Amino acid sequence: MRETGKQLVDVVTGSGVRSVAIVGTAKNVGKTVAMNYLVSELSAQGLTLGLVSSGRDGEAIDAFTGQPKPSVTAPQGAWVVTAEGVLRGSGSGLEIADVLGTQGVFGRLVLGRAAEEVALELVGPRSARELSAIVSKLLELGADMVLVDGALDRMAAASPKVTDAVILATGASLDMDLEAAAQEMGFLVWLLSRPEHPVDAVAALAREAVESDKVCFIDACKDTEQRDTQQHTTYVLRITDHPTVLGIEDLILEQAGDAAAVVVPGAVSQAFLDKARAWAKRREFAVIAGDAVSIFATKRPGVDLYVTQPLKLLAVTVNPVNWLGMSHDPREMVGAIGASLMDVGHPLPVFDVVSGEKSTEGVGGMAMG
Amino acid sequence: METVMGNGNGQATSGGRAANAPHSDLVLPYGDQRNDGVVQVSFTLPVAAGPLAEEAARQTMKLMGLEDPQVAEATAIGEEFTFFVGYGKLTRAVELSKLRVAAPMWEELDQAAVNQLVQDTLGRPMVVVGAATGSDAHTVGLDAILNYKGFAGNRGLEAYSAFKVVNMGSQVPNEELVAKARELGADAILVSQVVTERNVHLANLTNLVELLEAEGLRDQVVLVVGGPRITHALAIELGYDAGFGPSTRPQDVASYLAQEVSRRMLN
Repeated sequence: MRETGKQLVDVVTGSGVRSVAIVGTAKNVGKTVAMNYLVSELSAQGLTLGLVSSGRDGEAIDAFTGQPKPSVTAPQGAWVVTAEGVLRGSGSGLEIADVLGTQGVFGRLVLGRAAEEVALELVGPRSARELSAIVSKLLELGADMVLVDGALDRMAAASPKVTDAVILATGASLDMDLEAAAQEMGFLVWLLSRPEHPVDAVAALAREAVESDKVCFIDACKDTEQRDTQQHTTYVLRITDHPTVLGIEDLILEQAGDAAAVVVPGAVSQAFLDKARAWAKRREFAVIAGDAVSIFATKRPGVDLYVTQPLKLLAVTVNPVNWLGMSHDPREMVGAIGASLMDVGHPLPVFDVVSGEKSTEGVGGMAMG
Repeated sequence: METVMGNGNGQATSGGRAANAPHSDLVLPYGDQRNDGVVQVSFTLPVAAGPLAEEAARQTMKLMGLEDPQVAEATAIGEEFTFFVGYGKLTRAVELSKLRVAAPMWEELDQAAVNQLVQDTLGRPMVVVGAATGSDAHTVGLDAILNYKGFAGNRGLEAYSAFKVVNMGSQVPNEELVAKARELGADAILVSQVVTERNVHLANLTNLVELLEAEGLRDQVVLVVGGPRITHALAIELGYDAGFGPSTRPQDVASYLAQEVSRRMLN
């Protein structure tokens, strides 16, 4: 049964973005199925697509479990990036337009155009920086929309430096306990939805701080006569000598003084958040990261947490079947995830693109038709 | 679908194999004769020894796709477990021509050649940091690759003038490994991990990649993972540059590292 109302493809086309990362919360949560759904629906609307993976996808057999996997199907006219070493057997349908510099164990990365519909294995570049360059190149070549298939549970493709927006794929492989899976999704969506600091002056300094590639503090200098009013607070950036907080969490925080925030240009570890939380108990103190994929929190940190570049989360897809073949009722799972996102204050449309189930709880303008 | 089996080379022409090969493109396990498909399996069932357990064992083998399953040995281990050795026939063949195997894109170099290549490329030894990460306490594989004495008569990376090796040992948190790599200006990171079906090991490996990305170090290191179930294909999916499985010798890793670092300098 096909429901009326907005589908995942409508969410994507209606968002105005040009590149979307499909990232997963675990292995076997249906990233490739969601990607193939979008490829098929978007190309049916006449869009020229660009396809690239942040790792490896579309291989016939799962490299780990040995289970058969769906291949990625590139429609005629789509631009595709993969490695020359995996083109044997499927290369005939691809017209190679360019050979990219990157070389790995599967050979050089090549950029080609599908002369006809072709099933492919996608192999991507090694780093987010290279991935970002490839997304730009695909757009320059004329792709209307670039889809980046994430690998495993890796979030690198979701960085705002790489793609405009993100679809989060999850499912029973995350946790077979429905409540646990819903809770975990609630936390992850909360984390990936971290906003900019609400004070414009702080947010602006934080962006500057990230550019410096050094850990920085933002000191608040309050006007002594009007201590309580925010407009009389001026903020000053204090740059440390440290490019990282890893392994030197205490050393960094000891320098905090009366800072209103610490800006971390690299990884924000759970250890750092734990220590910052203890620090923040006595004063107002925020931790600001470059983007949400640089935050390695495993639980709510108990300290204000912001980013300089927020992600744009479009939707969640759900695969109710886990890698052992055990399944939830699709409606139940979609509903549970939707409710959980609502609970954490970040409602998103949730879809199972296989059964057609969806939840739009709390999402404005998503009423079922 | 059951694949129709030719005997010997009956179907050999389709695969594009070497002309002199008597092999079929379709291959089955070799028991007593070519392509009889006979395999031996062993497993334990949580069932007390007896007729019920043996039937369960035969059904288990059927579920494995084995025809004509026979229990050759059933040994009670404890009250509620039975260990089985069984035989059966596989009738579905592997088609060699349909396999895509990533061929290593580097050459085997001897120690002198590795040392020379790194010297020519970097003008100094390559800094290699190795660790068994996360909860993993296995260091045998890592030690075999890194330590001077090496493995099976093949000396480890410490024996090469091309490498300055720092072995951090086992159960190293990813954050510590990344901090150490930054401190030492590592050119390569070697991670050893015994992965299992439990996602935790894979998650720990991808976590390292994400940390390196966040720290802006991913492009600056050659990132290698090794372990009993690691392949290049899995390594790429995990976000690593290469993956080395069982029976890897130090020389294989040394050859790869030298050529990879040299290739990057040329790009």
